[in-house]
Amino acid sequence: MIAEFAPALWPRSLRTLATLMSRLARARRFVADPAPEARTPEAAVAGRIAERLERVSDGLAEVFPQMAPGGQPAGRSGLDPAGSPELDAMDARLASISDRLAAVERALVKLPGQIPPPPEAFEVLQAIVGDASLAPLVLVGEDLEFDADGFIPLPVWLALAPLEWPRRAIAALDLAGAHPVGPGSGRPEDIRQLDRLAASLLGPAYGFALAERWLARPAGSVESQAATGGAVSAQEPLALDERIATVAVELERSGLLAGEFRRTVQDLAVGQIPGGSPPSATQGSDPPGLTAGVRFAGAYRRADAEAAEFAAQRLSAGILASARPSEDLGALRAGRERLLALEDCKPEDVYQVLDGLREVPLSAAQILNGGWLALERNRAAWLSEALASPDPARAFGRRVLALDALVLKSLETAGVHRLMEAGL
Amino acid sequence: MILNELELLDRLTDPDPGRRVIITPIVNPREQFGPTSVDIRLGTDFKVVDVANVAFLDPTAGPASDQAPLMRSYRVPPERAFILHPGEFALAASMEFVRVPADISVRVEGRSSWGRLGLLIHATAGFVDPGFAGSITFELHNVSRVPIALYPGVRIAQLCFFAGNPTRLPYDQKTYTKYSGKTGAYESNYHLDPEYETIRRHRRAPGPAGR
Repeated sequence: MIAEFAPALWPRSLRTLATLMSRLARARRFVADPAPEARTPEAAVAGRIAERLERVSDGLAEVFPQMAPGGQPAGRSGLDPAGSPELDAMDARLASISDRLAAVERALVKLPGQIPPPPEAFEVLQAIVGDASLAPLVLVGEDLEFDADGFIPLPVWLALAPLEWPRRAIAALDLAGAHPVGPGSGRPEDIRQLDRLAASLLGPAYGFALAERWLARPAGSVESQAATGGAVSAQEPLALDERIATVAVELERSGLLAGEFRRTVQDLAVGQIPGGSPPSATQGSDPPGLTAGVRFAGAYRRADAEAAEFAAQRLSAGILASARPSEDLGALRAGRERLLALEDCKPEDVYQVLDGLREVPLSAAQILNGGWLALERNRAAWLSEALASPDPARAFGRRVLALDALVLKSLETAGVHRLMEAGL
Repeated sequence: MILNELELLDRLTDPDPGRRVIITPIVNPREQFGPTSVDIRLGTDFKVVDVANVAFLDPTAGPASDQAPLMRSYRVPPERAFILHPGEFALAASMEFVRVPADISVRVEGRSSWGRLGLLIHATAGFVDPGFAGSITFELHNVSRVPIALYPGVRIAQLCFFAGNPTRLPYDQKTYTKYSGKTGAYESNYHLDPEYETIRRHRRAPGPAGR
C-alpha cells in the first residue's frame, strides 16, 4: 500500500508547500497595516498564522526559488504561474472561516450570565483556522483489501480530514460545555445563533458534543420535548434536542458536512444507547434531525482526543502506537514495591501486579488521528532537516514514509490485538 | 544477569526513558510473562522467497543481489492463517514492537509447544543488540513433515532479557546498522555489508588477481 501511495506523495507535498507560501503571502498582507484600529479579528488570526508559517518560510524559500523573498509568489502559487483555482478556493475558505470564527466569538460575548468558556477553547479554535491553511499530506488512505476483510473499518470522513477531528472535538466539547445552565442565563435565539455558527465552523464535531451532553442528561429528564410541545426545561434555556436539530439543519445546508454527519451517525448505530435506559414509546429518545431509528453508540469524547495525543507522542518517538497502557507507570511501580515488601509473595500476588501491564488497543480513528498530529508537529523540523541534505525531497520522504509504515503497523497490530482481547 | 519478572517490571516502568524497556502491545500479561521471559506473538507480515525467479543468491552481484524484488509478501488478516509447508522457509515479524536500552540485550527463543511440532522460529539470528528498536524478525522453518497453520496473534517465541554494562555502540547508532526501527518482515540486506564491496572492487581491479 505504501508503494501505491508513494507516487502520489510528491505532487501533493509540493502543492502543500506551495500552499504554505501562498498562505504566508496573504497573511503578511493582512498584517501589513500597522494601525491598531485596523487590527480586525481576521487580521489577528492571520497574524498568528503568519507567525506559524514564518518558522518554515525561510527553508521553503530555498525550495521554491521562484518565490520572492517577501513571500509574494511570482505566479499565484509559485508552481503554477497561470494561477490555481484550488488555491483561490482555499484562500476564500480561510477568509470565510476567519469571519465565522469572529462571529462565534461575538455570539459568545452576547450571551448574558454565561459560564466563561475556558481560554483553551479559543486557542483550539485558532489552531483550527491555522490548520485550514495547512493542507495535509495523505498518509494513510483507505486500503480496500483490509476493508473487505473488515480489518480496518475506516469511515470516509476520517480518511478525508482526520487531523482536524480531535482538535475540533475538543473545541466543540468546550464550546458546548460553555453554555449557561442556570435559569435565565441566555436567550434561546442567542443560543440558536451560536449553534448555527459553531456547527458551520466545527462541523459534525459540534453536533456530537451536543449529543454527548444529550446522552449524559440526568435520568428522568426528558430532553426531547417533542411530546410536550417543545417546552423548555428549567435546567436548560433551550432543549438539547432542539439544539441538535439546529445543528443538523446547518450541516444539511452546508452539504458535505451533512453527508459526513449522516454517514457517521450510521457508523455509530447499534440499536441501543449504552448506559441509558431503552427508549420507550412515550419518551422521544432520538435527537431530532438524526436518522430515524438510529441512536448513538457514543459520541466522540475527550478520551478519544487524549488517545490520539498519546498515539502522536509514541509515533513521534518512532514507537508503535497500537495500544495504550491500562495503568500509569507510577501505579505499576508502587505495585512492584508492595511485592518486594511482602514476606510471603505468592504467584497470584505477582500476577495481580503484572495485570496492570495489560494494554488497551486504540481504535483505527485514534491511531490515524495520532498519525496526523505527529506529522503536523514534526513537519517543520523534518523539512528543516531535509533542506540540509543533498536531496531534500528524498530526505523528507523517508521521514514521512517511516511514519506511514509505523501508522500502518499500528493499525494492523491493533486489529489483531482487538481479536485477541475478545477472547479474554 | 538474566532479568526475572520483577526486574523486568522495573525496567518496563522505569521513569527514565533511556533505561526503559518497551514491549508493546502487551495483550495479556498472565499468558505472556514467565519467570525469566516474555512471550511474543506472530504479526501479520510474512515474506517468502519467490524461488521461481531466483537462480542463486550472490551478494557480490551489486544491486541485482537485492532480495527485495525476489520476495513475495503476504499480509494475513486476523482469523486467517499463513500455511508453512514442510521444508519451507519464511520471514515474519513479531506483533510486538520492542525497544531495549543500551545496557540490555535480548535472546529470542522458541516455545517448546512449537518446537515439538517441528517449527523453528529463527535460523541463526536469535540475538537482539542493546539499543535495538523495532519488530523482532522470525526466520520460520518447518522441519516437520506436515504443513503448519500460523495465525497472527499467537504466541510463537519468547524474549529473555540480559542486563549488563551500558554499551557505547548501541545498535541504532552503529555505522552499518541495517534493520534498526523496522516494523515488518524485512528481507536480508546482506549485500550491503561492506566486505562485498571490497570483493567487487577487487574483481574489477586489473592484474593477475583480478578477473
